[in-house]
Amino acid sequence: MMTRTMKVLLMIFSASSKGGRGVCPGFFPLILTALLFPVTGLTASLGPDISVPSRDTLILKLSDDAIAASPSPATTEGLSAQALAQQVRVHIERSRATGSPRPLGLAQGLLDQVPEQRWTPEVYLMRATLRQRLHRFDEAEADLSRVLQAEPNNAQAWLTRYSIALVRGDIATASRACNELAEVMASLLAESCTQEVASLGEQPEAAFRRLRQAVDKAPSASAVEHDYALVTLADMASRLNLPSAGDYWQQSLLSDPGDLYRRARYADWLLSNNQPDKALQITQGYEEIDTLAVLRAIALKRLDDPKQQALSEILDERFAEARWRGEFLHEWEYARYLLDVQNDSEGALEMARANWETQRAYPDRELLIRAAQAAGDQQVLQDLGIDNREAQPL
Amino acid sequence: MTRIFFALLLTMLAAGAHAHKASDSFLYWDAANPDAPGRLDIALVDLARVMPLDSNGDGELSWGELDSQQSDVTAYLASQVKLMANEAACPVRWRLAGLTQHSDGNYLAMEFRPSCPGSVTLPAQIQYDLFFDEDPLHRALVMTRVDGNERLTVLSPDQRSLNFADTPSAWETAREFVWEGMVHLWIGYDHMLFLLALVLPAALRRQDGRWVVEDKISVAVKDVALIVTAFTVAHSITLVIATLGVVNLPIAWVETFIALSIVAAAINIVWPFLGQRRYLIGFGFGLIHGFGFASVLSGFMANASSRLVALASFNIGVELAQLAIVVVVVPLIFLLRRQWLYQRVVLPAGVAAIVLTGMFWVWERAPLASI
Repeated sequence: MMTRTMKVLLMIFSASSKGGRGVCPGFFPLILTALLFPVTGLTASLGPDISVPSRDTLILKLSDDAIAASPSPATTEGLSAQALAQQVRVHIERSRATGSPRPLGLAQGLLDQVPEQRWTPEVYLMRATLRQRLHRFDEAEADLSRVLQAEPNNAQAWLTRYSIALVRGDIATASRACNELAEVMASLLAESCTQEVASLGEQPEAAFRRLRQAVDKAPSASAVEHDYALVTLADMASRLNLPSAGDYWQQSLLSDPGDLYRRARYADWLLSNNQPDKALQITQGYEEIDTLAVLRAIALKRLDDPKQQALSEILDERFAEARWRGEFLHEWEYARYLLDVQNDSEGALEMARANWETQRAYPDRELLIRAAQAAGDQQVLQDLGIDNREAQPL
Repeated sequence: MTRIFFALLLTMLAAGAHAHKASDSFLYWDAANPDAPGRLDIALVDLARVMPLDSNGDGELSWGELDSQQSDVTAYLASQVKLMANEAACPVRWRLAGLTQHSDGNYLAMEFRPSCPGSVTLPAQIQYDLFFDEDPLHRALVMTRVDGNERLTVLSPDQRSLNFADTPSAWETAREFVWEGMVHLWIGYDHMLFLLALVLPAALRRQDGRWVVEDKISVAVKDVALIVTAFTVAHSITLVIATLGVVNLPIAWVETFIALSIVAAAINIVWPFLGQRRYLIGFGFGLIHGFGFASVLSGFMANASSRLVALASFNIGVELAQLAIVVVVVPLIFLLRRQWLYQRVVLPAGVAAIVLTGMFWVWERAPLASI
């Protein structure tokens, strides 16, 4: 109502002062100019600048993975459950490889087009993985329960349940899932998860040693299992602050350079071990991946590199758009950015706590501790069972 | 950070690093500025997935290729994005405005201009279905400007429409515009002074070089009623034709002429150079005052759900305000008309004040600054 009255008054003042001369414009026009000054800004158009490129300007490479090979809706007619699961898997794999969440949406779109009556446990398993990627852990769990009810020996489902439980900090569930996995297939894979769970208990060093020995004793295990064990060892070594952690990360990155997770973890390890120049090297060309871009921005800042400004601007825009969208999958990244690039410990703590609501793995815990220390929040540290003096900076 | 595994696949999948955002479009709409087009930015990646844009099949999309398919693109968008007014879709003109960038790359910027049918001025709602079938994680990030404030909202498969503003009901519009009509007459002193200058002689007029007192109140009331009616009829006519856009006069000259009409009407009290039939003066100048009302009304129209309700209500508001003035002023001047103080001081001073104010406004408003 107040605004309305103000508008009425403004209208009337403006009506009674139109054409006022410059020499002595009168009182109302002066007030009016002052009042209208912010209003004139309103005529500015919304949104970023628009340009019209020349006709031969290349504006998109259609060979990009994001567009190529996406199944058209027409092909879902009469799609078998097996083919559906396969296509969803292709999308999830593409998302993992490119770090882009776009294919996850396409996977969801495919699933929506095939009625659930036709789904097999395999399709539910794919949806569980999709939901895991979207941090919808409860929904993913529901799908896994369904799969495991139908196929109690589905090792992939047990492993997925294990991963989710571990990320959520639910050690009991992780341990049960790992035991089930070992029942289904006694292997290096089962040994990896067994020792990983053990490393979260009383004797982490012993667990690390046991897994290392298991790797040495299983030369015939598949490459996949070896790789899994290697990443698990790298994770464990990081948690134990072993100097060999760097070697494990480097080795695991070499064995799969396209994997963004290990690249990010290695870059993070390099940063926390005072090697920002190396972190810069392995994040080069990965600015599109938020996790790697944030770690790169931290490295640039540590090196006082002038390029940090431009990268920070890009990240600011990305996070602003992510906040606008609302479904925030980047809490860890954003918290890290606020803490280590923007020096905003309060904002970082808020984000790290939001991240902690859904994700409770080692990097999530480390970040929360560091943000709480920077913000001087003793309560958070107490809740985590941390004595401020003994906490280790990442 | 999370990692996931397909341990039993041939390749192990360990993921957890997040890239940029998922698929988003950006929609901008300035509800308060009916002249500004709306804008929709869509990721080229998303558009390329639903339309075969690469006409020469070289795996690369150039601006020229996209531009030559403008009609296909606009037809597709028109089928997916609708602007609604009163539950009917408004015809929309889409235009390829150019290229823009958001945090994850190149976007096509499209402009849209809805022209809603009937008496409605602006669309009240947007219905958005773009990309949702292929990608349920797609979102439209909407920025609307309402009352000068930017409002951010998100459209999703579960929430596909957005009301730009809470469209007021006809009754709310009527109430609001009656009030605005009244306020405008009372605070926009020029119309009030003009009316006063016409009404004052109803009790005491100048005739043949001397003051003549009106004896009968019935005559005075009839006189005033005639003047007010004539003024009302005249300014209603021009208010309607100006609001409907039939005639448009330069507002600076209208304002100047309104100020002149005040001076003329006031001088006419002591020197009846326009004659004693003041209802004719009221009618003649009333035509010009109508254009003045129209310029004020147009400022509020953007928020009105219906032009006709707004127009009629605004006019009724003006009339009610006039009546209120008459009810207060006529008994007062009728009671005072024989008083020496009124005849010799109050009336002449009042007339002088009105003339001076009117002249000051003429000087202030005349669009002659450059001369």
